[in-house]
Amino acid sequence: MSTACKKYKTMNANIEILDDIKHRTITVDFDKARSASRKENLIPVVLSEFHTLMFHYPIVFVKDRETGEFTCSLLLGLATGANLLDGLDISNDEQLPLNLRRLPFCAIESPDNTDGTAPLIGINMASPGVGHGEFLFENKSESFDRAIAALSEVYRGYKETRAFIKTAIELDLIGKLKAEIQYKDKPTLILDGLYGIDENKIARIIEQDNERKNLFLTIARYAYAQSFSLYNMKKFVYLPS
Amino acid sequence: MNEQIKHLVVVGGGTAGWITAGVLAAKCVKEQGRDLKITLIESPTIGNIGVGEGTWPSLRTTLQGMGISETEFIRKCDATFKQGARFNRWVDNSEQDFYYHPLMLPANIGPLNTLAHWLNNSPEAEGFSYSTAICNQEAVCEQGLAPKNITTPEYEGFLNYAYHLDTNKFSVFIREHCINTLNINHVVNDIAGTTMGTDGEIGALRLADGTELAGDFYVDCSGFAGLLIDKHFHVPFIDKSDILFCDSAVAVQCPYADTQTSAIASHTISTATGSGWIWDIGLRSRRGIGHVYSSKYLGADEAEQGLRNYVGAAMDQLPVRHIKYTPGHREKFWVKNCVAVGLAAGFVEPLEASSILLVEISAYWIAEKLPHKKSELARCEQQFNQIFNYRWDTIIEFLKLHYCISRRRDTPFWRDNTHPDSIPATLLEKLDMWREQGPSVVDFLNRADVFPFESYCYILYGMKFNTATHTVGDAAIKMLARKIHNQQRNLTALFQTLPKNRSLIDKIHEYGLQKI
Repeated sequence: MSTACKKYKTMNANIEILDDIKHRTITVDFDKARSASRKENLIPVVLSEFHTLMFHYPIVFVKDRETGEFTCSLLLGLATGANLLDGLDISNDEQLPLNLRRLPFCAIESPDNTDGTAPLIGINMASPGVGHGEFLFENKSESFDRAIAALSEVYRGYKETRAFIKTAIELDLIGKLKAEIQYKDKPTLILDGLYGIDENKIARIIEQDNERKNLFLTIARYAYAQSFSLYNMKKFVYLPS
Repeated sequence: MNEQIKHLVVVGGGTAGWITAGVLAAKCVKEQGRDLKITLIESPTIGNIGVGEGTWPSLRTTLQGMGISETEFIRKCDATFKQGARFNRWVDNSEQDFYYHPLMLPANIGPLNTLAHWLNNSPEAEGFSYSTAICNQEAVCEQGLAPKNITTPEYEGFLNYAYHLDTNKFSVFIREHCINTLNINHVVNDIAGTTMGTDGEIGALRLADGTELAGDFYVDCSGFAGLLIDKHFHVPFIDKSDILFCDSAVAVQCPYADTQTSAIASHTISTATGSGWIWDIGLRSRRGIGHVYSSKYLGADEAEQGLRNYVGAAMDQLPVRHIKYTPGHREKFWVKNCVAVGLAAGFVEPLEASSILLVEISAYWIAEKLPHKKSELARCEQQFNQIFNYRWDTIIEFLKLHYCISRRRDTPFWRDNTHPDSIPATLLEKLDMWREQGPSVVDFLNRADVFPFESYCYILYGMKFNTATHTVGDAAIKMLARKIHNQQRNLTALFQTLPKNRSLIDKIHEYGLQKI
């Protein structure tokens, strides 16, 4: 899935800065825009979503293929084609990650974004949702507001989530997950490249380092959510593939 | 006399000194919890020799064991990945003459005899070399690919690898780590001499400012000067130039045409010349290139011209450095309360990057065996000298192998190198045996062997040395062909997975590697 935040220099040619004059006549079908990405196997999430999404999907750490950096993602699908979003009402925000809800918008930062200037809103003109549905600037519908709100939250959340991951790495809390799905009638599927937070290590450092207890407890809140979310792995067993 | 060994002094702040001090601090103090103070003293006036920009995969374990981040190491030492060596013009000096000594062990594809037979007799073997038949690494190197990608954790790889590095930057980098993280006591002063201790051992180091630095045990890493092993103990140096003729080098540091885009070879390129060979090592910002030669057969100016011919116009304005050395080693490395490591122990041409490797294995040996009491030093002295004499002899033998089985006879250097008189009797004996029986893993059962059976095979078969083979059945040949075919399939997957060497190095500079 493309990231929610782009730098000018890495901008895809299909991304345009949203402009109420240039895009006056543009139409967007938000459900269609979301549907196009529902088949993604991994979708990045931010910390503020952990405690909602942990009940529905596994939250894992994965490495970005381009940079090797860890990101937090929902594990939604497998190579077999099975996907946890199959059959879900795509217009209902409750169980959807922000990164689907913000589509087809993304945030665009200036190349050096050192002055803390708010990002601009970009629109992916290649999204299947663009060119269909409602006129974007005619009545600024609830769907539009929800997408912008989701974009805003995910943009703010990235920084916080990155800091969380950095701390987890520094504290050596992230470990490789041993995950495999055993089917009755098919070969076992080994899921490689997934990482999680080691709860035992968290408990140990909380015990040992009283001075930084509050920091560790904050980390623990999200770590336990991540750990809890792994119970959703078993849902894959019941999905058709 | 202080019977306990509680203070160890390393003399010399080059690569050898800091690696030794770092390994000892990590193993003895940090890992074993031993009560041992480690001091490294280095001269403010004497610079580093800076030999050996090539390493062995063992350096990964060494760096990791010292708690060093691979990302930081790569960023600060201009380091790149090395997956082996490509030897050009060593066999018959033709345009097509090259072979590889990769760092991967051969794949398990069956008996060596079957493979040798297949390579010599099967039409299917057309286009395969020994190395390409049993290992994917040559093909990966030829494509300029890295041994891992950006998501591979630090110190791990899809393929085995070592590094090319800037030794001067490496010394600075490892020094900072040793001082700041491993708490090694650092003294900057010149050594004026030594005082005599009990029974001829070193009592203390006399420093240029009139003070003394006393330790219980000393590691001489003072380079060719051999401040302790030579100046205090007067241990003779065994000259091996009758076997390894090269005794000089001329080197240049050559920037890339374009530091953003020029490819970085992921292997050392060693090109044989009329009276020596040229190393070509790709770092991130430059290439380190040098001509190692024998002064008996070639003058310094001719050697420099040979280097200029190899590098081309890019070398016109660059300063060159001439180095003289005597190939060989000390008669003994450990005497009483002192052991020599690095150049103080000996030096041979960097044909198989054995310099830093020997430092590492010496340091590990000392870390493992350094006794708590001085009364136990004599046993260590005897054991260390026995093992390391064997190691030096076998390293020299292995380097000689690269020369003595060559088919080159185009210059006196090559004619003399292939003459039996210059070949150690032990090597001649092995070559005779392998002509009759073919090499076998049981010929290499000594745990002190630095170069294993597999390395010998890469050189022997790479250089088309004829070993005996016996007849092989069709079934065995078919099985072998299938395994080689499967390996080729894996290669396709590797090509899709691995980035170019420069691309990965650049990414590591930008994003870093993860620890897990």
